Amino acid sequence: MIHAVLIFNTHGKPRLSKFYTPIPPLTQQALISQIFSFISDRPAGVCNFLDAPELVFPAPPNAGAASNGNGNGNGGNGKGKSTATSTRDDDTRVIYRHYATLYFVFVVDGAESELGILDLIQVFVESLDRAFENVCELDLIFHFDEVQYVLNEIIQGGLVLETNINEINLCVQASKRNRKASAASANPLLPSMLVAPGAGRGRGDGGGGARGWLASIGV
Amino acid sequence: MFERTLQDLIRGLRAHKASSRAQEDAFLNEAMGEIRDELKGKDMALKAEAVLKMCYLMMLYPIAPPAGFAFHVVETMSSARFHIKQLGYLAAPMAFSGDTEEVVLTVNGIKKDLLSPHLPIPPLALSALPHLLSLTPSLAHTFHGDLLLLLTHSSARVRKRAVLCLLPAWEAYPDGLREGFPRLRERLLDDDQSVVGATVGVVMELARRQGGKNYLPLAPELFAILTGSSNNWMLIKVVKLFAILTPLEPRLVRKLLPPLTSLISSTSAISLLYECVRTCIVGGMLDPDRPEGEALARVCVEKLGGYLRDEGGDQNLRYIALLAMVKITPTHPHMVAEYQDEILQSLDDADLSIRMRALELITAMVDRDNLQHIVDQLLAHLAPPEDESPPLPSAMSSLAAVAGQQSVGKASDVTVTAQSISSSPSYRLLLSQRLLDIVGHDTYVNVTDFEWVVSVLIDVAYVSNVDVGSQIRDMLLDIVGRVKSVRPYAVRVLEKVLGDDNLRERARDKTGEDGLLEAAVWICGEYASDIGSPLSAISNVLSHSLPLAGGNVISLSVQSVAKMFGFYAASISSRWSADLHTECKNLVASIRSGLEPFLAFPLIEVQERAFEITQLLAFVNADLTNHVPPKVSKPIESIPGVEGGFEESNDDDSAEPPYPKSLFLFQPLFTSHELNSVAYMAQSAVRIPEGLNLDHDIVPNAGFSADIDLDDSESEEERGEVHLGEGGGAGMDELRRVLREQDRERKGKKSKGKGKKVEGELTAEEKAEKAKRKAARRDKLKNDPYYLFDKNEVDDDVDNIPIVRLDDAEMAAAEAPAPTKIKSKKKKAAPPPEFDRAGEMPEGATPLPKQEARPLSGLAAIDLTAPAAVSREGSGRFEEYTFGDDGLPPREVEVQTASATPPADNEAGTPVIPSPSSADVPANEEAVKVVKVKRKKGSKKKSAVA
Repeated sequence: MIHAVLIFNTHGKPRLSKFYTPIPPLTQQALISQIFSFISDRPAGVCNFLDAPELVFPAPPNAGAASNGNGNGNGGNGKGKSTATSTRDDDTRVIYRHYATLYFVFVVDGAESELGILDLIQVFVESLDRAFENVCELDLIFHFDEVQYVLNEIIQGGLVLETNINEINLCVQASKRNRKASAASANPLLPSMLVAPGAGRGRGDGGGGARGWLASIGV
Repeated sequence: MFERTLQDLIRGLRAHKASSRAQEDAFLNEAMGEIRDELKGKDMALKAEAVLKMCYLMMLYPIAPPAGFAFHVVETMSSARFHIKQLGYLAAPMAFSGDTEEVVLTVNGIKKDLLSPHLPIPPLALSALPHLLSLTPSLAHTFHGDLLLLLTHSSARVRKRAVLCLLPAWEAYPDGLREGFPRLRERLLDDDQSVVGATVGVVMELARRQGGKNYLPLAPELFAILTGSSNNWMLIKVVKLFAILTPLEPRLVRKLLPPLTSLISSTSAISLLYECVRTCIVGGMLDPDRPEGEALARVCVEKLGGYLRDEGGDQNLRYIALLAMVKITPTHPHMVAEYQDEILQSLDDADLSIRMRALELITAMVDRDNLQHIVDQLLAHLAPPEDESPPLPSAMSSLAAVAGQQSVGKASDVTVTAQSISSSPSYRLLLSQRLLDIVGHDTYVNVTDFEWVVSVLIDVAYVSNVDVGSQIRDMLLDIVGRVKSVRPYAVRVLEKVLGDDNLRERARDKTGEDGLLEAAVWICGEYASDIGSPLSAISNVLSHSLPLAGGNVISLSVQSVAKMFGFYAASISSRWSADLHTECKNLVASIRSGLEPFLAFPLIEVQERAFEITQLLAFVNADLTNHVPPKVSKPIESIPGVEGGFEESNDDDSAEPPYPKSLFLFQPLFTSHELNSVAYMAQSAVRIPEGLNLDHDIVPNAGFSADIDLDDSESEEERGEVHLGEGGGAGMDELRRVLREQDRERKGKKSKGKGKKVEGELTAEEKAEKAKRKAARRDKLKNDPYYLFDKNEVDDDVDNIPIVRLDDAEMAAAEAPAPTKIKSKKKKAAPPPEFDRAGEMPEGATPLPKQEARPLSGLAAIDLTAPAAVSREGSGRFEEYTFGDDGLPPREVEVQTASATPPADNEAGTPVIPSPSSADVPANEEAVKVVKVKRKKGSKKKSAVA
């Protein structure tokens, strides 16, 4: 499964961090900065998989049958709640891609295909691109919530929900319209006026005001 | 008045980023204060914005949310407005932690949202649910029913999210798996591809957590997806899932080979191609017994090798090629060996990731023939590249800059990074450890020349510059202990090491040399007979810088000096002369002065050893000083026996030896028993002495009940004593005194008799009574999960247990063929040295107890076999799994279980019916049929195991 999805820029400033395994916040921060320092050290033209002897990713508390390797060193283990740390011997991998000023980083385990995750990062970026129309770092900075919503359409609880960009985009657009409609109304909006994704592509968008969704009530 | 939105907050943060840290902190504090107020306010929109801002800050900074934040998140979650609700569900995973009590407040709201008739609402709740479930497992039970309901929701978007929620739900509530498994199975046949994809993902995760056994019955559906789907993501998942399943069901291999082969040859997606190759490898499809397996292996290795060979090709492909080759090496080493050069080249790659993978692969590739070559390569990596670079880096770089302003370009860049990687301590540590592991792999199975190993170890200690000292030390000691023939060489080399003052200096900063030094000191002492010049060795060990070393080295050194002196003194006795007399006296004096600093050493062990040796030397010294050579100058031909030499030489009074007798004071202290390596499990092979019965009570009844009885009766009598009354004059007092005395006498007799009787009784009744009690207790404890029951106790007749007896002779015989084979294969190679691989076993060792596969414990084990049972009773129509194309008669899917683990009958509560014809007994369907599949050279044998 996917343990974490991170976006940070080339200066190590986090733009998005989403952890699907419960990790204490301090450890999260430490992990992000650790991964960033390794990735930023890597020269251009090398592969997209990050292996470093020091990299320690806290194992999920119930790793089950997966055997945890030697826990040599526990650099990122701030709170120490999950003391079982695993290194390269475990199949946890850090897979990243570099786009302009941003690094998109996925931390995954052996259930995911390495090359498949690279494709998934591409899907994520393309979905963002459609959601923001020519996405750039500023979009991610100022629409931190929307980035999360887009991610929510692709991954849920560490498992891949959808890989089809069109479908993702439909859902993202629908929820955007719903948000707009809900925020624009003076009165608490009844849920019945919400648009199902893909149902009202032509209807809801553009209007943004009460008129748009009022029209959709009639249909 | 004007409330900051998230955008304002971000703008403010960015504005303050340029300024000082204090200003940024001040701004943060201000923002936090605002957020706190807004959270407490009545306005839902403001509250939601504050929640959002808080989430943003929590992502960026390690700050704790204000108290009650979780409660406000609950408020937003239960808002009727879509955008606020969505925000609440977004914030929930961040706001709640495991001990957040507010989670309880959310239950009803989430339930309502899950079952909301409005399509956009359930996905909101579902998206946050996995996190909440993993935080508060108790919720899993609550929502399980709802999730199962949502599995058949009309919208595929809800269905796929519900499917994904099942994984955390079942993790927290394993029993749900039994109920939900058939429903999950139906989702594999869903109309919507993304629902199927999600289901495959969940099955994959479940199979990884539990082992694939429960999911073998899904093979037909998965197979249909494999042949029918065109979605690469899903195909990858299915292919990966089969990699888990095929080792459990060998018949799947034949079924899978055609589609996988066609995918490998046809697909354009490298990711899918790679996963197919990987599944072929991992799934055990490259069985060398089968012709197609060999061919497939060839195809796989060639595909991977192509990635590796592709100069300037995709680095990612090189990485995964190395990754996959590690998997294929155990079965097809010769094919991988063809790419050895490329793999070794990858060790030089600028990319650390690729280096690490190459290192791992090389570790797997090592065999007898290439060991030296590979280790030399690794050593070359460890050795400092050139001596010029460290001292004057600035000059170097400026020269380079002058030489080719622009033309230096990327090439030098890459070499620079490559060097910097080589010098990174953690990489060096990894490299050194791997190197040592390679050499010592499986007790030096690949080593043909131990002198070479010793020199490699010394090299590693010198160049590694990382903390591998203890590993080097242990290996050196192990080798000289096991390999007798290498001892002279090792001592000779290590003697030189001892003379290296630089080494001592560096040994103090834990960079590999410390271990070498310790090993050298010990080995030179232990095998002092091989030392070239004991005098210089002793002075080297007791070097003037020794007091600066660690206590460990010092205590070793003190001991080692004593050993060396013991040997030296014994050896000079045969050629005793006046010169040697003075030499020896000087030596004693120098040792004593060398040990002086340690007489007051803070470490007690060092102090004690130093004192002991010094005292013994004082004795020797006195003997030497008083020694007058006897007039009879007849040389003594033979040295008296080393064992107890001192006493023996004392004995022959007739011919006083020409040398001082105290020369033999030291040696016997250290040579009485040769040190050997101890075999694996030697301790447990120590035979239990005859007549040792640990179950026998040393004190009958644990020393309690009998005494207590006595005490009770005595106290009763004493009480009686007290009741004799008080007062009544002198006559009465006299009477009382007499009575008491009589009583005491009687009691004494009685208690004596009673004590005897009790003992007699105990021995008489003991056996029957105790056996009965023991049996009862055992029965009681058998069902007690908290009592670790010794299973061996039940097996009364230990001799009946079939255990392969591992005799020394047999072991030697088993080992013998390997070396001879190599010898015949490779003529020029030196015959493999004899060494003590097995190690020492205690005398009269009992056969090694067979290592029992420990049954899994915990959740993973509990529900292992259960779903299989459920799947059986739940959906009978899927049970027939036919192999159409290879003419096998349709037969039931066999659930293969490890024979060691108890079958599922405990779970199902019904006994296993050991009849193979249970297929036509529908009444017993819930009883899991456990059929062990035995494979013997292709022919299958089916046998029922109870």
